[in-house]
Amino acid sequence: MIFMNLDAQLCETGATLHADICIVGAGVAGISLARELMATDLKVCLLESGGTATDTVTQALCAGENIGLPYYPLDTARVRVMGGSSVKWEVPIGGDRIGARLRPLDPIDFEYRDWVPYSGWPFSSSELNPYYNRAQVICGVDPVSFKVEDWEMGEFRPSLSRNSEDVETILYKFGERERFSTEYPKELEGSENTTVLLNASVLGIETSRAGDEVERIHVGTLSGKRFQVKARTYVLAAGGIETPRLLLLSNRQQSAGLGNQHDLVGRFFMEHLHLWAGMVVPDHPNTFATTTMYNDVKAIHGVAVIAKLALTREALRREKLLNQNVQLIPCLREDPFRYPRRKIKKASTSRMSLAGGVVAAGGGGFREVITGSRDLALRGIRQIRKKTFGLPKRAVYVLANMTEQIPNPDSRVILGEKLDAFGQRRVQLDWRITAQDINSIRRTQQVLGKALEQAGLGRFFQELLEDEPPRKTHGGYHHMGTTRMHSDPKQGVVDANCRVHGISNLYIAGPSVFPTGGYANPVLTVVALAVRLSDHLRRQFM
Amino acid sequence: MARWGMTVDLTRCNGCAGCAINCSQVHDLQPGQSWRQVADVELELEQGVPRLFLSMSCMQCEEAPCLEVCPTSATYQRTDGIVAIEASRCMGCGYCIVACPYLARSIIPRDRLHLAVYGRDRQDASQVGTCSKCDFCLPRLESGLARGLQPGVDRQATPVCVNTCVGGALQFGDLEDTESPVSILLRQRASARLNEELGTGPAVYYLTDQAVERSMNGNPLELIPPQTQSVWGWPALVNFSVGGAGAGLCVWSVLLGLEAWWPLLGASLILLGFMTLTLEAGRPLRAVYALANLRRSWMSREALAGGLVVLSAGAGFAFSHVSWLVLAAIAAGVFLVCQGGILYASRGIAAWCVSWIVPWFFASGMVVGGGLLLALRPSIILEPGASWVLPALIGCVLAEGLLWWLYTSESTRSGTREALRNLRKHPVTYLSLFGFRLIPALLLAAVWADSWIAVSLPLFPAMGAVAGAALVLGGMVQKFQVITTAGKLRPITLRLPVSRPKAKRLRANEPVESRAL
Repeated sequence: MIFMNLDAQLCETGATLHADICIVGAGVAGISLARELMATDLKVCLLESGGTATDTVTQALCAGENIGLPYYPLDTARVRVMGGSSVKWEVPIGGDRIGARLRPLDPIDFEYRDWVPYSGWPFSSSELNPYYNRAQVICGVDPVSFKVEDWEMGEFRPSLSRNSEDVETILYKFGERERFSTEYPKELEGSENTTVLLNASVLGIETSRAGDEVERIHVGTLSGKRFQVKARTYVLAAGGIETPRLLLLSNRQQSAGLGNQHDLVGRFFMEHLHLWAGMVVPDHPNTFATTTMYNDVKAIHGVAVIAKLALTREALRREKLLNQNVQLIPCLREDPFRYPRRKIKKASTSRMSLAGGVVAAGGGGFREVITGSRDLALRGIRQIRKKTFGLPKRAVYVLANMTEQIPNPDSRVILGEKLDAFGQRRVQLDWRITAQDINSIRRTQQVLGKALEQAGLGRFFQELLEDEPPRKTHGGYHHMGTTRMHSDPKQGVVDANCRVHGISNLYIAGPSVFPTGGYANPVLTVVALAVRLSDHLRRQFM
Repeated sequence: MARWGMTVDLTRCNGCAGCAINCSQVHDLQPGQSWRQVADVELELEQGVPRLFLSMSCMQCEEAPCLEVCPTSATYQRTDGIVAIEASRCMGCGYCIVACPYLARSIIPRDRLHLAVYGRDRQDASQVGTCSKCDFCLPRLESGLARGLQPGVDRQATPVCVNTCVGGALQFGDLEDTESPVSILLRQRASARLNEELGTGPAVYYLTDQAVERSMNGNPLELIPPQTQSVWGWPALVNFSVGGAGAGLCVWSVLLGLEAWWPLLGASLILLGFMTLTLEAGRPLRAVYALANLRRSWMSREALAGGLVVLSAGAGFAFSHVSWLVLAAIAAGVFLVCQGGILYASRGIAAWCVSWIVPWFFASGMVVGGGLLLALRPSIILEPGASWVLPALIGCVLAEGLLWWLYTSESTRSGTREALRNLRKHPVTYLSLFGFRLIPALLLAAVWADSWIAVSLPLFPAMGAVAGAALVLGGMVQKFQVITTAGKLRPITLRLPVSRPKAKRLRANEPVESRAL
């Protein structure tokens, strides 16, 4: 038995390591799971493709192609290192700390919604609640309440949703990245039952001939070592792109890949759509003093928190909208009501052509020429002013949307033809956005804008006008849905316990099991599901 | 004495930008102001390393270009190699920003957002409008050293970016201490520095390995492409063109022995140029320190020469003594040279950092000043004793043209050719070629040739005036081109061959024990 971090490059080619549970991927999910199993007698083997620090050669293993909507280069979207992509958490949360937003999914996210195809989790939010509480302790953001009233303090009050039936104030907490990138890896290193194998990339999962049980997994290192790990149970925790990639690559016994008998692995790729669009121009300059809660990260009860706005469950049902939240971000912008960009352009071009037409027609509409040229001159002056000094800007609230996508089987991860350093096929990501996603954002903004105007915040200006996907839409490195959870094997890759349908000892941890994404950042749900899985595995082994 | 330095491991950086985010958070930087940035470089490679990230900040150069140019001496270098800024002296002229080849500096804007939203300023009011940059977290470093901690080893004494780096890509320490983390790394690993060919001697080293070098495939990595400088806008342009014209006018009028108010007019144009600069400088009142760095900064020298022109032309006007005017003319000539020198010393901008720009600036000032005189007083060509003006001016135009050609075809330094190509090929350049040289030269030649035959034709002064106006206009356009079109910040590149541990040699004149490498 080995009680330490091991460099897989020291393993001998052809060797077989034995464990009770083999976890693939030492990211947030894998580390949470391994930590929960530390207190047991189970021998856990945690395989991590990266080392204790990142390196470019290993990182190149997760390069891939984006063949759908423009997305981050895939080798920048995940990090192969002990601690996984938590090293990329990047929200400044006060002092010299950096972290990520944490929030559980809302109850409505677990429900079946008739306007969201493929929606509904196999269990309700009450099933996950105790695990969410444990997850918060793991992430260091307890006390566990997410009720806004419990966090009110001084000027930190929900001023904007007081009188609204459609809009509610929701709370976000921030977890520090050092927990997963530094602290917990150290804990695991000191643990007696856990062996962490670094620089160990899983190359394939081998099942029994019947395909109903995983027999071993094949591991390789970039230095050329090849060995196997045999365990009683295997958990894939490699993220929403690499987990389906592994399942698809393991096609020796089942040509479509593991768990893919119904062609679901890699499909339903979802991101959270992030988008800055629309703004509220405050009527009074002192409005900002009343919205402190929504403007900045605050430390309350030792936890960094911020408030955002979301539609209430009733409003979502009534309007048939996707769940989403909006952060109010104070910004300096040109007042859209005083300097309506589009309108100026349209008016003056039409005037210009009008002026030309009038001259051609023999000066019949002299007045139009005068007004037209005055407009042009004003525009010219404004242009010069803008070029030299910039138009005057005022402080406004810009609405930063973050929304779920409808699960879409055509938005997917597939294997491409290019090969990585191990000779394994790289992935291609075909990310898609539907019209329903965009229309849902537009409608939510309208409902929200109306509520904010009623709350006396100011005038709402909508920027999203076209149906086409707005430019500057981006994801948040949240890769969800690619091995979705459903009790019916025909509709999901894993069952309610995160076990791959049809394979008795293969589980999946991580956001790839989410059937729908909600708007909450996935980390807290990932940790909660990992904790729940650890309980399940413990029961299995008892 | 210590020499603080940093190593950035190109094989380790994963581009999380935590270093830059935390730097901005800890130092409370404004939007648009960044002390550290992380460049993402795609290598378009099938196999191997497809991408590198590069964390960059102030390089704390040994031969810091910013230090040389700072007119107020607000930028200073400590004995431990750190280049720091004394904010209370900085006037925010932005000269150091165009001089820095590493995009490390920025002016602190007033935090208008915070003012509008919270009704208060986050910033120390004395620092608004001054230049700022990374100083290796100097306060942390000093307090740590005072407590006996070892920077680079103890977190409390180490820069925030290094502490933040979970990838272990950033290391900090004393380059002269052979046992410091950075010295050990530099002994073991191949390393290179950014824009090393400029000879600035950065204290930030980039560690590579064979995989990275293979991926670079022998090509220099252009990490950040050239971008147009946005520090010096139209006020600087007014200073260079109107001030230059004023100086030229001053010289011509003294040479011609015109009335004392002509040099005074030239001097007031110089003054106008200076006044315009106050619109651009972050803290114009601190221009009182502008003469502090006469030894090295061309801007200090320009301020001195310009001030001398104004004072002596004023005195010449008041006391009508010719020696004052001669002094003014000499100072005006020096002023023109200094203006060229200012651009020449801006090492951040490849197209300015060419020695021919100095004589060209002088010639251009003389041409524009002569043109201005001709435009304002065309009858000068007919005045007795001034018959040499036209041939002299034509000579100046020809000399200016030659110098322009020499300047724009300079190609010995790397990067200069690319930077100047734009200037040479730009359509406006051709326009100013006609406006600045051909048309005026032809007109002047016609006037000159004809003045030998029939002196009294009334059209000649008018033609002279047109030629003069063309000279002025063309000259201004030309300077506009040089400042804006060609004013592109130098690209940031990493070149092979990198210095390898084995091949590393000591400089001949340095004692062995003084260098850790």
